[in-house]
Amino acid sequence: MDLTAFVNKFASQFSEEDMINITEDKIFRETDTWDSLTGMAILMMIEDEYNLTISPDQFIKLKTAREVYEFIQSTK
Amino acid sequence: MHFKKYGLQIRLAEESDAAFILRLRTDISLSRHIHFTDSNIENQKLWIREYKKREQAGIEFYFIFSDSNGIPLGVSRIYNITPSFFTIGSWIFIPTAPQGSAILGDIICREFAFEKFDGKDCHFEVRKENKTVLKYHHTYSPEFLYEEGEDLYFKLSYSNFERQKKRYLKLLLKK
Repeated sequence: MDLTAFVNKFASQFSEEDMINITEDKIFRETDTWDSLTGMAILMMIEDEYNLTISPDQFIKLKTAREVYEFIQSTK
Repeated sequence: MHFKKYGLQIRLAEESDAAFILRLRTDISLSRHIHFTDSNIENQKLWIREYKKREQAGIEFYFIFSDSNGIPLGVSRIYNITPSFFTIGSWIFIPTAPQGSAILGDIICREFAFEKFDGKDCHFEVRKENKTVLKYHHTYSPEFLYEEGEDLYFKLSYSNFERQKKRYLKLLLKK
């Protein structure tokens, strides 16, 4: 999955009104509907797509979809 | 009752929790999707006194979840216990609670209920507009029951709960 496809998948974890606001470099925790449940949905999506478990402590350090994507790539 | 699980401290609500509960339930950012709560502290204390009678009777359990330092993070409740199901609700955590603690609180509450009321299903309702909570509940594959007003009603089996719970715990308890 390339970065664009990943960002689309990443954005689909957000509420409908915020999906369009998610870009590669948007600080996703600053979106209006962000909450910890959205964060868990993202972690679950990553586990499904990449068979990779990111801990909440690791995840909290990642600010943008690009950083999450690059973190995933770095583990391969 | 006081116990620790998954890094959280859990106890039953007391009258002295009235201010915390009221703060949660009247916080504009948190209470958009829950039933209206009177902002009068004395009424909240009265509600808890009445709740304690139901708790004594074993028909309702209102949990307060705290961190390891005893700082309260959130609440969840088991109520409306019938021969075939129990109901969970009143699930609210402060926005600054550590990532995943709200889900751990929900899991602990349901584990308690499924164990105590063995063989019963778990019922719950969610506001249609509460999209992220609705999405979270859907991950457990509950059965849709009906829609009434602003709310959707669901039933969750023990086996579906256990299956998805394991996935969350794997993520949340990873160091």
